[in-house]
Amino acid sequence: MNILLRLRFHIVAILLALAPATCFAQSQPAQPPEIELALNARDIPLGGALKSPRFWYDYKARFVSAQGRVIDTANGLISHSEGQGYGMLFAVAANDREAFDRIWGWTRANLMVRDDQLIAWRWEPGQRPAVADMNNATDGDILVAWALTEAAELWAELSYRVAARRIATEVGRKTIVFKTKPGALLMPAVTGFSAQERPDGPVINLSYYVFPALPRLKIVAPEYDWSGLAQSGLDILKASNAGGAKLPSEWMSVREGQVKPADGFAPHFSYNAIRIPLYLAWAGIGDRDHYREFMNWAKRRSSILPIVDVKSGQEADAFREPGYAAVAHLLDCIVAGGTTSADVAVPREGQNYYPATLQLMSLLAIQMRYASCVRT
Amino acid sequence: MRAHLIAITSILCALLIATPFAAQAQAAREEGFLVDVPASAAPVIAPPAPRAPAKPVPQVETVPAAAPGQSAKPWPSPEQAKAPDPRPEPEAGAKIVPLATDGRGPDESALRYYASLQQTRRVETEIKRLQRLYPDWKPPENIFNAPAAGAVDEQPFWDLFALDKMEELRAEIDKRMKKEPGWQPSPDLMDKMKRKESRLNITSLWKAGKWKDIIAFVRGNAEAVGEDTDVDILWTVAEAYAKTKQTTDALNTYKAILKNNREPSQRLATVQKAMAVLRMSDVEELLGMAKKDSRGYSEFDVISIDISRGRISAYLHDEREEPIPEAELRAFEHYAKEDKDPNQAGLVAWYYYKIRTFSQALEWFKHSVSRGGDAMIAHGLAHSLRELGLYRETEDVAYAWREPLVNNAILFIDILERDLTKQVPPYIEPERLLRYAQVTMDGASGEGAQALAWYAYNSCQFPTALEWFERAVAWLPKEATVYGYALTLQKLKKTKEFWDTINRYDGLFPKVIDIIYPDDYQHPPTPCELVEGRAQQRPAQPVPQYGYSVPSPYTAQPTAIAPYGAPRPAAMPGIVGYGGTPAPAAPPQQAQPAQAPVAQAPGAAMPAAQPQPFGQPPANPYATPQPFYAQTPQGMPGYYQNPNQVYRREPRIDRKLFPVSVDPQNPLRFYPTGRYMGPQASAASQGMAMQSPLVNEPPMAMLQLVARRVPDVTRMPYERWGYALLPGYNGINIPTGPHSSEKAPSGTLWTTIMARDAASTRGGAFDPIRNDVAALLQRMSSIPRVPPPAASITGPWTAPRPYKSREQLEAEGLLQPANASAGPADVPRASAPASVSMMPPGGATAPQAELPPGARELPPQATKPSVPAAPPQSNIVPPKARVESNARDTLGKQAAEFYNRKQFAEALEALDRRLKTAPESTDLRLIRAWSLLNLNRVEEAKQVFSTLSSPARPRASADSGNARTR
Repeated sequence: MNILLRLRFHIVAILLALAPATCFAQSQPAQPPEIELALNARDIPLGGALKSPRFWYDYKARFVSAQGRVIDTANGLISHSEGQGYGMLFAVAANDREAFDRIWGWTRANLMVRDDQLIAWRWEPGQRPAVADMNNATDGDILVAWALTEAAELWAELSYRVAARRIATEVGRKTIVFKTKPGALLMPAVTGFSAQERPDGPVINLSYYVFPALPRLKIVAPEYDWSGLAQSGLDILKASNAGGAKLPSEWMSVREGQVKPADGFAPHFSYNAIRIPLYLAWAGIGDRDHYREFMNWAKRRSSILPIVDVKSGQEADAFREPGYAAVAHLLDCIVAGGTTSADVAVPREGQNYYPATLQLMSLLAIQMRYASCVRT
Repeated sequence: MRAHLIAITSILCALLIATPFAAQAQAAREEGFLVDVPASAAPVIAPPAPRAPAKPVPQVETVPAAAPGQSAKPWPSPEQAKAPDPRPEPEAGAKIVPLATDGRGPDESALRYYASLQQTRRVETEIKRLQRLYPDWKPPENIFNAPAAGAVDEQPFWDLFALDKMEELRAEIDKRMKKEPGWQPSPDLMDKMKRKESRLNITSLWKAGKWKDIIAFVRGNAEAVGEDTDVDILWTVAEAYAKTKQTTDALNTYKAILKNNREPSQRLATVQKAMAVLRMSDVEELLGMAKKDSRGYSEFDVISIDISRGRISAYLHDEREEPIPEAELRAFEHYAKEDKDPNQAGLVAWYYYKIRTFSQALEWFKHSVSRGGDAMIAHGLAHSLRELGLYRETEDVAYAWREPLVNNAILFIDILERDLTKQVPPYIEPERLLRYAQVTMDGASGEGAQALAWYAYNSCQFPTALEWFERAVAWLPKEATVYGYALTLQKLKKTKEFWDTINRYDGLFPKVIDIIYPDDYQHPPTPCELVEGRAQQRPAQPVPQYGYSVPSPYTAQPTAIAPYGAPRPAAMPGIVGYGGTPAPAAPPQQAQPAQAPVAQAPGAAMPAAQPQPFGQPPANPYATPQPFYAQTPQGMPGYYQNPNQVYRREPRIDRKLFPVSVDPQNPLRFYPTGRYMGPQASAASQGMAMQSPLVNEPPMAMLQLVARRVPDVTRMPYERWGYALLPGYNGINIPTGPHSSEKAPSGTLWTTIMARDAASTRGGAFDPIRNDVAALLQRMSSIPRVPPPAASITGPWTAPRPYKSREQLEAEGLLQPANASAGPADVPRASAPASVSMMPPGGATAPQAELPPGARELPPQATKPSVPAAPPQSNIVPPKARVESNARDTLGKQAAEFYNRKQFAEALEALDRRLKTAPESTDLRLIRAWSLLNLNRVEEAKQVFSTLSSPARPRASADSGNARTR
């Protein structure tokens, strides 16, 4: 039985690798062997991976309510499915089951109001009703399903596994559009982004491809082609560079396989898209082409990372809080062999929810996969 | 509910897992260039042994017959080995790596060696030998003139070469060239060295899985890979193409091997390698290149089972459209039937499932399980049963296999949910309810909790319903669930929680607001309401329960859960919400009707007498009039006429109750095991949490008393009276529902399966809001005449805790004391397929599982106590009531026993005799009532029901009972 099980995973991996070649992959010219990136894509459980519990205590004390609500401090103290997912992930990584139960308990009690297994994405305190939108945000669903999967693995809890599977399969069947030109597409939500609903649809958000989550979702929903989804994400990222834009915009139209900034959204590399290089590195995937422009971006300014208009290449704004720099440190380590000081593991005073979240994720990526990035 | 229906298609993908051929790639990677024979496939193919290249060193009379990479054992048969050689020209256009004209050429090194020594006789012998092996081969010309200088004394180099010591060899050659200026190694040695180095390089890249680098190397070193590149290197190159998704190149490489290579075993291996890395549709092209003998048999027939397996898998993955030809399928079935590997039978089973031949699928799944098939096979078995309409069996199989595979636990919850949420609840045996409650609690399943809640609710067991609804709302607060929760709160007169809920979900769940703003249709009363109506006439009496008593989440659990969070703020004076001045902040256009009202009955008009405080009356009674059209704050009702000409008025709602500000957060919270999650424990008691407090949010209150629009939510019921909502967070001010749970972008699995789902045996959408009016109207004939399990005479019956250990359950006789939940690892393999159990070992309900639904209905007199479980299909057959021994109340005990054996007349007789000496407890009166009902003495039964708690002597039944005994 064990051998069968073991084989099963190998076979699934092989089959997934056989997913139909995408148009992008086909057109790649032969290249000489590349200089190795210091990537680590091994299958590593997240449970207990956080080596700096202090960071988590500080995070909890500032952003997690006693009810289990993760509060977006820079955004009217609202909550969203994505934040709940991050909170659950960090709680698993910190092996903090009490906090995990609390955050998951709030999430399902307040956001799982749809008639399916997906999660209403936005919740505003004091409003009547507090749920602001019945639509989901697919990254939030994926993050919650991932956290539940890791929790089920770490604490061997059936209920987490049941919920993880229910959410993951719902994501698989309701938000992945198959057989498009770039391959399988992850829709940002069930409503509002498809080819039928927008003239430039389908519109996607690459930062919703939570790359480190995808291989882990195989644990609970092996029948979906998560690897193929990751590959199509990588291909779209590469294609987004082809049109002259150096960086991917937050929202991209992929109509007819043409990748360009979506109508009606600022063509910026901004708060959403900064997660793309972070997720790539955390998953340990991609090649030099995928990282090149991110590295150039990270090197643009030493202290404050810019928000970039991808059409003009001009700086539109800046990521002002210090936590964002952790993403640049991570990139520097993987692409250029740089190291960062241990102070990446220290929470920044007075920082808001989002930069603190990105810093903690970068820290987790380093502690899970790139321990040598930190100077000792 | 529909989840598993859709899941099943995707699950089909997972079965590949069962196909051993796909394992080859992995195995090959681990063990070298072995041709992996599919597990237990009939033909066994000897792998080539490339890891031990034969020495090309000329040794007298023992010139190696096999070049590196040759198969050590020819396969499959001498006839095939001597197959004619239809060698075509190499394809000019193929842009693959340069190929040898053969997998390898004749090894001429010995020949040249002898020639260099001028050993004419040996040269001739060698030429003959080579010609025998390679009929087309022509001996090279000028062989005696060709020897390179120094070739004769290269033996030490060849020795190093043979040992793969390439670096040492290079060093030795350099040394000698320095020592003897002008000396050159022989071209043969140089050529072979280069090729061996390429080979070693490719092999090491292959070991590291660097597919891209292999291709880059091959492209950059075309000549080094050589004309007569060994077939195993070509396999590697083809695999590298396949792994890097350059399918065409991979396929061309395999094709070129088949074109040029005549070695039967290598040709077979080529096809097998290709099956491991290419899609079957591509492999079919290779199969088309098979050599056929005079009878038309293909050289690849020896692996026909593997080919069929590949085709079946391809079909399951939607990579092949044509079904498998009948004869081929039969052949594979024959093999699968005999094979020990349960996954072979499983593959056949899934194939039949995919082509929707469920009876065949069922048989094959059973066969696979009997051979040790795993929980996924059992999952397929359960779904086949479901497709055949055998829901009860589905439930049993899913339950038995719930632990090894979470899919089964989910299916178990979903399959019974269907029955539990029926408006007229069917009879469900107590042990089934109990195990359902258990799995619900183990899985913290909102689906299971709401199902039990509805079952309890529809059986008029409201306190139990509340306990389950609380969990359901904590775990999965869907509209229908919150609706049921609110109804239950209302029934139980939990006013504060009820109004909190109504206010909390105002703007989000129209169905919940419907409770206080009901629609205009007359709804027939539910069975519980009928009973309640009677009970209200006699206020002291409890409500009799219909259906089986639903186990409560925890008997120890306090019924009322104190929500944490802020106390509800009192209604704000001065702010009048709905029913007062509607939506003062809303601009006038927001009040325009957003969508056509549901009921636009022609001719419906406002009666002339209707108060029209402002302007013209709306043409349609449902249309939103003017934003300011409403009653005065004093509650002057606005009349309108509904399509049925029924005059209705806007319900008057106490403004202290609605709309008011409440904490918008849902306070219900339960740990996965169903335990109530209170407020966070104090820091001191938490140890570590001393350093990690949480944010203490101040009590939250709604800032507005007027709800705002939520995208994808339909209009609120009170909008009929003209009240407008505030704009949504994104500025929308019209309703945009229905919300999106039934939608998905086209191209998703959801949309592709919906059509199939609709046509499935499960039928249309499941509606937990119980709008099944037809069923309701038949209520009196279909109320399950099943008593609560209170037929114990030792005292009031208490619901068992759902979270009992298996030992407890067995001790109580609720589960057969078998190792029913043991994992498949312990499965005793059934020897004969005829006696296949669909359970893991000793499944609790295996005997029933084999019965078709109708066969379970026992005749009324089938009263053997050992008959497992009561027949669920009959309306009037009660469950077994457990009777605990009570020596002091023999007659009562007898009555319960008779009752349990469905000897209702005897039960009544015993009760009547007992009644002469002792008053009858409620439990016994229930037995009396149900016995009467089962004897079709309906009127008498009703009387007993209506006087359940009355200590008085029940005249009617006592009389009739006496009449019977006399």
